[in-house]
Amino acid sequence: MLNITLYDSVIACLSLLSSVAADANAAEPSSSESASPSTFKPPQVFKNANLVHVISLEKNFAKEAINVLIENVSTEPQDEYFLPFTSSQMERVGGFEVKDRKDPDVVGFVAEAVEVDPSSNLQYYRIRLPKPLAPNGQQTLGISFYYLEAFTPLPAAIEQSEKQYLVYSFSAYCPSSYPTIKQKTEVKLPSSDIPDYTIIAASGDEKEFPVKQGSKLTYGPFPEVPAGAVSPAKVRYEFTKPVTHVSQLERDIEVSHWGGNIAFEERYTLYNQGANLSAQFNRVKWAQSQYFNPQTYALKEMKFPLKVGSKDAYFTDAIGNVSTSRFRSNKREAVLELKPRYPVFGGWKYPFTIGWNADSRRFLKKKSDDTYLLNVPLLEGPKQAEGVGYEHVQVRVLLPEGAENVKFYTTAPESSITEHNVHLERTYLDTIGRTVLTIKARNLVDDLRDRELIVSYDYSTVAILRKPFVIFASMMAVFTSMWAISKVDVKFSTK
Amino acid sequence: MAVATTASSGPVDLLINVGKNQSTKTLLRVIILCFIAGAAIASRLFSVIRFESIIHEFDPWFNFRATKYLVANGFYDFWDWFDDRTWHPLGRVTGGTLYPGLMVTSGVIYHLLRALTVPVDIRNICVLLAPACSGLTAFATYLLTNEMTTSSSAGLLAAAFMGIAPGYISRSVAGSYDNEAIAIFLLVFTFYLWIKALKLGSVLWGALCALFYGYMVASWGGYAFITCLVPLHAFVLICMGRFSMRLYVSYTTWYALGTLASMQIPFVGFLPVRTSEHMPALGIFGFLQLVAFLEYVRSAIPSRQFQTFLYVALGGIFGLSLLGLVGLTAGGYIAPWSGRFYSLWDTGYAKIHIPIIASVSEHQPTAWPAFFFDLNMLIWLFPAGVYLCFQKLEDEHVFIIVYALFGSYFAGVMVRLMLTLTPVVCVAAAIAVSQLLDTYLVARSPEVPDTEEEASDGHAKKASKQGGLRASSQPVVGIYNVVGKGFIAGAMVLYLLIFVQHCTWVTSNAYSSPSVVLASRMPDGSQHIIDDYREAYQWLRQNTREDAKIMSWWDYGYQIGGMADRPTLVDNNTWNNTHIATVGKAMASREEVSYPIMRQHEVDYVLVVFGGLLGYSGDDINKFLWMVRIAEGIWPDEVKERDYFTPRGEYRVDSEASETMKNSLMYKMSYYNYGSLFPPGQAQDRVRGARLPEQGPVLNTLEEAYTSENWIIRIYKVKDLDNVGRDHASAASFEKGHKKKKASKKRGPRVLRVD
Amino acid sequence: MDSSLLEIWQTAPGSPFLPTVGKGSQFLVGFVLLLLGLSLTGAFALNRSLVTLPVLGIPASLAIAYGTVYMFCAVGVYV
Repeated sequence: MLNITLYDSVIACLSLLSSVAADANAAEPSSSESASPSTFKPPQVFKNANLVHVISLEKNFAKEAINVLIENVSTEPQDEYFLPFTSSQMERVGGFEVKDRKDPDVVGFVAEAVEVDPSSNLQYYRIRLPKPLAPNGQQTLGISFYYLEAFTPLPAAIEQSEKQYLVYSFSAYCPSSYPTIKQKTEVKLPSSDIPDYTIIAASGDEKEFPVKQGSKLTYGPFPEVPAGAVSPAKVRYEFTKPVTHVSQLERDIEVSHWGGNIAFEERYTLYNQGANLSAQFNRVKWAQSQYFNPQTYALKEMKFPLKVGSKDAYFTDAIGNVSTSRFRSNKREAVLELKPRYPVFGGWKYPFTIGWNADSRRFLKKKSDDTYLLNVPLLEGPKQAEGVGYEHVQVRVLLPEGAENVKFYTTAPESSITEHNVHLERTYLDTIGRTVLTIKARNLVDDLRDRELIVSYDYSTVAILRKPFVIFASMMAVFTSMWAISKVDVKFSTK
Repeated sequence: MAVATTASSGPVDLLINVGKNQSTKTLLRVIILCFIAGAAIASRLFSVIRFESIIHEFDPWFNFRATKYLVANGFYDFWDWFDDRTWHPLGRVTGGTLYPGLMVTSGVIYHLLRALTVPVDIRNICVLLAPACSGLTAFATYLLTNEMTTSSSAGLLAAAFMGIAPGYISRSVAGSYDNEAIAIFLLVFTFYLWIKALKLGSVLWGALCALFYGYMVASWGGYAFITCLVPLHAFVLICMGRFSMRLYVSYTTWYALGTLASMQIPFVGFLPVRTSEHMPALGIFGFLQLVAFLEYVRSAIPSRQFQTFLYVALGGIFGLSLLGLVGLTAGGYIAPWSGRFYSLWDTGYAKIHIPIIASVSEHQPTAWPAFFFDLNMLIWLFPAGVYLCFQKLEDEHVFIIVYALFGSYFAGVMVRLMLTLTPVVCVAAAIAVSQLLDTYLVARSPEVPDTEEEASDGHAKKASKQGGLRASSQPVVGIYNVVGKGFIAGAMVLYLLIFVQHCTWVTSNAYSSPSVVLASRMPDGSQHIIDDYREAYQWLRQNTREDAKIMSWWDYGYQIGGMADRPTLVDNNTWNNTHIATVGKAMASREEVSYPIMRQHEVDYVLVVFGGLLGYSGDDINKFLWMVRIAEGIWPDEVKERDYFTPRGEYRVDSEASETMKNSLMYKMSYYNYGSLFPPGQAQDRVRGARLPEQGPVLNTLEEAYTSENWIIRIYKVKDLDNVGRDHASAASFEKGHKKKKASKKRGPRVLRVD
Repeated sequence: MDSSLLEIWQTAPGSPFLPTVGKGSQFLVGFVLLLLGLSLTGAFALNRSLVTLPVLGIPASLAIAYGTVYMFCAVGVYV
């Protein structure tokens, strides 16, 4: 089933690959309104001399790493390398990062999604190299990114105690905008229980691809393939773990100078995207399976390793406190262990809220007289062996009332940050409102949970004293009116 | 605190001394009242500290939901609220069928706090509203008692009693967000204003009284108690020959303005002129006009004969209007007394005619230990206080006597009316205690100015010591004797301490359970929380369709609406008896009968409460007979209570249970699949202590959708119609035969034992 | 995004921010200040005059102002 197609039909194949029903016509410019080049084609200035595509499916999101030796085949120095995605992949891709494999000191790769024709099924990430690559120059790029919601369970509905199997579709050839001289694709799976995978005719020594070694499948090496070539492949493998997906995470970080406290609150909308129950939930079976078979695709526990020194943790949902949580905090660790009210099976939903406090001295520094620096983790979700994917993340940093000149930086991939702004919000004892920095990101995974968020802001002494002053002024007003009223005789004269 | 303030030196002390002695006393009293209010609030927080800030029980969940609606949508939307998520498919005109006072109060507090830049969560406001109001009630009781007696300590004692009396705490712990929470404060305060108006004959106080009466009407159905008690007081006063212009002014002001105010509430509307419960107030209003007119005539024409004639005429008119009333009632212009009202006179009435009222435990007659449990020593001080009122017998004392009589009667008839008795018990008991203490501690010897002040603080112990010092320099006779004083004071202090201890114990053990969350002890003594209700409700809320209809017994309607946010068929607002009976019939009948009922009502899920595994006695099997009775009231031919008992008249669930019982949907849903939790033949129901039949029930039209961890809540999904038009029983047997063949080829049969 | 911040954080002097009143003593400070403020208010309520307005009113207001802020912090609403 060797299937080499030329660039012109790449769209059709990519769409097939992503199982989105779109045919080649869809890529034709349907309307002439869009001035942007809908038939945008990256200039053929590179070739991939050698490419290794590693697809890790060990967690419940797909992690793809493309290690590629690129070579400038044009006559000019080039600094823009394009990587193609289908529009469906584009919505689910996140955590896009580029490194130089040979020389880790080379920094300054800028990766961003290119706004081409939105109706086109072919979209690109543009990687801007820190230094233009001279003609015939070579560079080894390490590109890594994640796909969320990458799997479909097959069968889609299973019994409560059955094993769960997931299907992942990919291309045996790494999708590329440039011709690839030599490449291979490795698929790493969580176990060696792989009932189905696509077999393609091989080239070279092997009879057929892939080569299976334990829990690893290897397609390739392949000889030269033209730009845009794909070879759809699927793998179905056992994954009897919850496919935890957080569709919305709202994370609030509230800084208090008066209290010397940083308060965290996170609101999760969590789904299990695994296989649904084919019959209704059976409590007897569940209780029995708890005894001897802890492996299940239902989510029954989560562990949140928090920063050391966290305290006052709470775990609530829409109808109040959830009593099945444990919080351990000591000098070495602070772990919040949660059990949802019910085991979250495939297709079920469980929204909840957690929160905790921490001392400001662990996160807040005074840089100069009025300038403060805050360093908090961007993401502190559960740490699960099977991983967690976050579709929409909104981090709000509530700075004290009157803070200004807010700047921030995060070590998370810049392409994941979709939006940020600063506005005011009124809560306890606020007269003008606290300065709130809102950062929106999408398609993050729990691998990024140690990434830092650094915020710097100015907060003057006058602004600090605003709260007591407002209360002081209102109390004085009360006293004055008390005095004034005592001077007024409101009684009707009885004489 | 009080002592510390007076004893401290420096500018504060100086300024207090500069201030008049009277204002120092006032300040002390304010401080003491603040402490009483603090104690009242604190003793109601057991459940918040032990569990969490959560709404309790059943009705409060509706009030909470309504409050959230009010806060989210504003007052006008709330007023016009038609709720299509209850009483499916009928819906409920919620805005017009509730007492909005409670919700509006919370809403106002919510917005007020927001304006003060303290944006407290609406849930916390609702949870803490009842304790906050109890502080106000203590203050109102203080005011009311001060009208009764000249002793300055009685008011403070009454406030303290009111603050911690379990009879009131039972309905006002944190989280018990019910109408009573604010209504008792309004009740006491309205009575205070009434006494004040009566004493002064003041239009202003009468109008204030009417205003608070209106607020009370907006808050609680129990306003009828005021509507009957005030006219009764007026009537008794007239009969005692105590008619005065003060009475005339205060009563007519209160009645005219109060009735107008009460008619503004949509739920009350024209009831004040159309129902018998409100007729006494109207009748006394007319009667007062007549009496006033005759009084005027009498003062103008002082003739003995004419006077007699007038009184005859008066009697005639009174009799005529009574006849007219009866006629109007018979003609249907005035509604006769409602069933609930009848059940106040005949405690057996409800059980026969309106089982839905009788099925509520708080509508049962009170057991006598309940009085001691809820009021402790106040119950024996109460008659003494009433006796002391007879001693003085001013107009206001008549009020206490009348209130005491009627409060006692109603409290004896219905458990929940203990609540209306509690204020008068506190007032009367405080009068008695303060009289006792004043008599023994404030001796009528010349040099007593400082002890008087001490006694007013209620520091009985301290006062007794000073009394002892003074007594040593005096002839020691009778109550001047230090031994006598010490004994009485000591006994009283002991009683008071025991009272406080009892109140704390009762509050902590009996009245502080949210009943949504159950607490149990682990073997090692640590607290284990059983949270099955919320587990199941949260499951419903997250994993069923937004408009999935849930059928359950009406007790859980409000909780499902509040916590699971799903439409229900019936709920605790039991306005439609037929609809409830329909649900009762569906629960009590065989599957073949129930299934069409459930289809017709678009039921998606059925929820039952089952305590058999845990030994939780408040479950549906124990309530089952009420469902049967209520259904029997509408369909006497189809549902018969007798069929659910064994031939020997026992209510059983084991293998001896009657066929009708075993085939009823409720029985099947409760015990479905329960046996597989035990070794074969060992299934045990821990509530009823029964061993269940080896053969578990078979369900064809429902399938188990969710069962909570301790099996307290079981949710079943109503199956859709069969694809090929078979009935469910034959479809199930076909499936079973099919499965069996396959199963024998495969590894083994499924765990589920169906046969 | 200001990538220089990472460097600034790393090079910034190690002076972690500490509040004026530590978490452990916030309740005490708040309570004492509020008590003082309320006592002064009581004293003022007993004797309202143009003289006592500044003499008692200002210290009372100050005590209540700081007391309220610290009491809020002490009960877990970190303002």
